[in-house]
Amino acid sequence: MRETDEGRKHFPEEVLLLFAVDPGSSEDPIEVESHLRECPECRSIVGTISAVRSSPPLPRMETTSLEDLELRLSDQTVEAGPAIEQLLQRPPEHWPEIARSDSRLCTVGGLRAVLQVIPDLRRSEPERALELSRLVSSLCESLIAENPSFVAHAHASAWKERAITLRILGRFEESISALNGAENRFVKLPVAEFDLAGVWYQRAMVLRELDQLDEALRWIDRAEVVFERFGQTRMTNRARYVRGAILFRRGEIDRAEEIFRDLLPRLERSDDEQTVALLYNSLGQCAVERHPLEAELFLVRAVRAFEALGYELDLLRARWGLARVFLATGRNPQAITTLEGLEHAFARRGAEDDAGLVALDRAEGLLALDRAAEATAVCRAALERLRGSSPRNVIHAVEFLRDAAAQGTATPALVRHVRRFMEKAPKQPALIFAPPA
Amino acid sequence: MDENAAPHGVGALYQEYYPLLAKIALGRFSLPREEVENAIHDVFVSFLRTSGSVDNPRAWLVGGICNACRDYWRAIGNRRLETLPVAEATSAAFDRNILCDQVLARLPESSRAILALHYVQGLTAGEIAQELNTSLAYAEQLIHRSLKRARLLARRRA
Repeated sequence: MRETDEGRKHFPEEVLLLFAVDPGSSEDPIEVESHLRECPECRSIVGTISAVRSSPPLPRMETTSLEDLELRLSDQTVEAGPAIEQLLQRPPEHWPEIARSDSRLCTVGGLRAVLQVIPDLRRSEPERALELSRLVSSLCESLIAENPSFVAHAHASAWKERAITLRILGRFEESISALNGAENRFVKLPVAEFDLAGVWYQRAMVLRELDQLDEALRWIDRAEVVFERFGQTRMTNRARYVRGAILFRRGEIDRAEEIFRDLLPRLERSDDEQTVALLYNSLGQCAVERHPLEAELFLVRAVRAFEALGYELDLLRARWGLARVFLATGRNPQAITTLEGLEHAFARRGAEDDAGLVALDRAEGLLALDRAAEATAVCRAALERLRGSSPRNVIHAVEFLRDAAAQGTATPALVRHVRRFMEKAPKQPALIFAPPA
Repeated sequence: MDENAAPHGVGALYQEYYPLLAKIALGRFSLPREEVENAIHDVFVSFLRTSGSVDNPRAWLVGGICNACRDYWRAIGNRRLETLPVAEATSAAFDRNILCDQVLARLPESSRAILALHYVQGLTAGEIAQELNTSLAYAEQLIHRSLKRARLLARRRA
C-alpha cells in the first residue's frame, strides 16, 4: 500500500485494476476488498474499469511480428551460448576482438545471453564480470540492429550490471556513476518504469554502503512502489528487505526488525532463497544483544541457507553473528574458537576491517576467561589490521584498548564500549573516544 | 490457469490480455481509441525486453499499460504546453487545467507575462519585441526560455 500526502493509505492503481477485472488474481483479495469498503477514492478507480468491462473490445493487431521477434531472440540467445563459453576461456583483453568477429554475439539475443552470464560470473570473478559488462557496452555502440530499442535496452542493462559489480567490488562512487548511465539510457525507452525501478533499487543499496541513508531510503521507497505497481512480488519483497537493512544501519533496530518479521512468512512461502537467507541473518543480527537465544535460531538457519547457496562472505557474517551470540550467552571457549577461524577467513579474502573487528570480539571472549596476555596480543593484531583503513578516532580507541589490556585493566565491558564507539566513529570523524565512566 | 506460473509465449499473452489492457487504456486513462493499439504494442515489446525478470506476467502487463498511458498523456501535455494557447491547453483531459494553473503560478512573473502575451493575447514574437522594445531574436529567446521553464515545472508536477 502507498501512503498519500494526507497520511491515508491506498492500494496502487494497478492492483485495483487487476482486482476489478479478476478479484481472484489479486495477491491479497480479502485485504483489497476490506480496503474498498472504507475508501471511496480506491472504490472510484475500481468503478471506472468495471464500467467498461462489458464494452466491446477493440480490433487487435496481428501478433505474428511479436511472435517472430520472440522466436528470433530466443534462437539468437541459444546460438550465442557456445560462443560465450569460448569467449570466457580467453583472457579479457582478447574479448572485444573475438566478439566483433563472431556473428553469434553481435545480435540482440547474443547481447542478452552475455548479460545473463554476468550475475553468476560476478560471484566468483567480479573483475571479469566487469570486463564483460564493458564488452556489452562497446558491442552495443557498434551494433546496427533491426530493433534499436532492444540494443538500447541491452546497453542500459550493461551499465546496470557494471554498477552492481562495482558495488560488489566496493567501488561505490563509480557504481553510482554507472547507475546514472543506466538510468539515462532506460529513461529514453517507452514503458521504462520497471527498468528504472531496478536502477533505483540498486542505487539505494550503494547509497546504503556510502552511509547516505536518507537518500537510500528515498530511492528504495520509489523502487518499491513501482515493483508493487507492476505486481512483481519478489522484487517488492526484496525492496522491503533493503528498506529494513537501511533502517538497521541507521540504528533503528525496532523499525528494521518490524519489517523483517513482517516479511518472514511471505518470504518463507516464496522461492526466493537468497532473500530468505539474508532475512534470517538480519533477524539474527537484530536479536543478538536483546534476545540471543532467538538470534541463535535465526543465525543457524542463515548459516545453513548460505551454505546451500554457496555465498561464502555472507556465510562468514552469519557465523560471526553466531559467535557473538556465544559471547552474549557466556559460551566463551566456543566463541573464541569460531572467531579465530573467522578472523583468518576474512583476512584471506582481503577484508582486513572485518578481520580486525572479529579480533576485538575474540579479545572480549579471552578477557571473560581471564586470559589477559592472549587478549593483549589479539588487540595488537586487531590494531594492525585496522590501521590501514580506519579513521584516526577509531585507531585511538583501539590503542586505548590495547594499552588497557597490556596493563591488565581491560574488561569485556571495555571491549564492548570500544566496539560501540567504532560503530559511530566513521560517520562522525570529529567524535573523540572517551573511556567508560 | 495460474498467471504466476510458467511463462507464456508473447503471442498467447497478447491474445489473452489484449482486451484487459485495452479496457484499462480506454476506461481508466481515456486514451484515444486510435492510440490504444500502439500503447499495447509498446507494452508487449517492453515485456519482451524485460521478460527475464518478470515473475507475474499479467500484473506486469497491467503495470506496463498504466505506465504507457501516463507517458502518453505526459507527452501530450508537454507538446500542448509548447504549441497551444493556454486556454486550449487548460481544457485538456486529466485535469491539465489544474496542472497549468499550478505551473503558471510557480513561474517567475517575467516568464508568466511572456507566455500570457504570446499564448493568451496571441502576440507574435515580433509584436512582443515591439511591446518590450527589444530585438526579435531576444523576444524569441524569452518565449523559448519561459516555455522551457514551464515544461520543466509541468514534468515535475506530473
